[in-house]
Amino acid sequence: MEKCILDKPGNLSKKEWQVIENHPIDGFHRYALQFDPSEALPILLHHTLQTNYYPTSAKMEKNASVYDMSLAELTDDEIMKKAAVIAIADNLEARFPILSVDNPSSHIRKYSGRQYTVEELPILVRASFTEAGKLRKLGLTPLLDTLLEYSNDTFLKKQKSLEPEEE
Amino acid sequence: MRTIFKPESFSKDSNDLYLKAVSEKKTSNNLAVFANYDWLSESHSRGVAQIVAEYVSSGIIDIKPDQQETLVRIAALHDIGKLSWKNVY
Repeated sequence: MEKCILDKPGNLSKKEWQVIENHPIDGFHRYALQFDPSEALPILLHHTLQTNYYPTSAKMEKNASVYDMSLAELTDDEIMKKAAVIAIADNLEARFPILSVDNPSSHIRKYSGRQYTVEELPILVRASFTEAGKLRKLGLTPLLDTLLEYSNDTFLKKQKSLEPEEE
Repeated sequence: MRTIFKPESFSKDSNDLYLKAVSEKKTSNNLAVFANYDWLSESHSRGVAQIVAEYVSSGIIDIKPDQQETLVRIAALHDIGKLSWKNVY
């Protein structure tokens, strides 16, 4: 993928967007070439839990079939769980870079009192793609709280840096 | 400008998990992929992998022990499809 597409400030053209949409497929094959292909499925799936998902089911099935894997294997709970975890972290890091948080461990560990089920994770992925205000309406599970804390913390810092200094 | 990765800000458990998942394969001779991975490893993908390592080591996400390292490695390489082919092989 050309760096100019990744760094493009404005809207992408249809052709450029097609390149973006292909990156889970490219990534899947590259990982599969180096490691166990079955390990690579979450890479193929990591954008499929969001609202504007990609690639299509047909494309996923076609590419997985290269390694004799079926659609049933694609939707296995453990595979979906891994894809969801990566999707949450992907979205969180992209919007609110984790590396800018002073102490990520304390934020995450503060809410480590419970674990999430396979059914809950896709909801968390979709929620993490919504605005912070909408997150509040979704029951605020601990991980959502964590997401909010990151987003609020980072957002507030950014807002503060943009405010004019008082005289 | 993105913030530089700060490993000291993550828990020791997650850092160990991250390093184990990535460095073991990084030393493998057949991984041309990693030779061209620096721009990713120091930014978004490394951040994603570290978050996942933190989720796993803190117990928020219930992943089988034998799958934990794999999950972190997948997270580190989740955007590898964004590298251009000519830079990888």
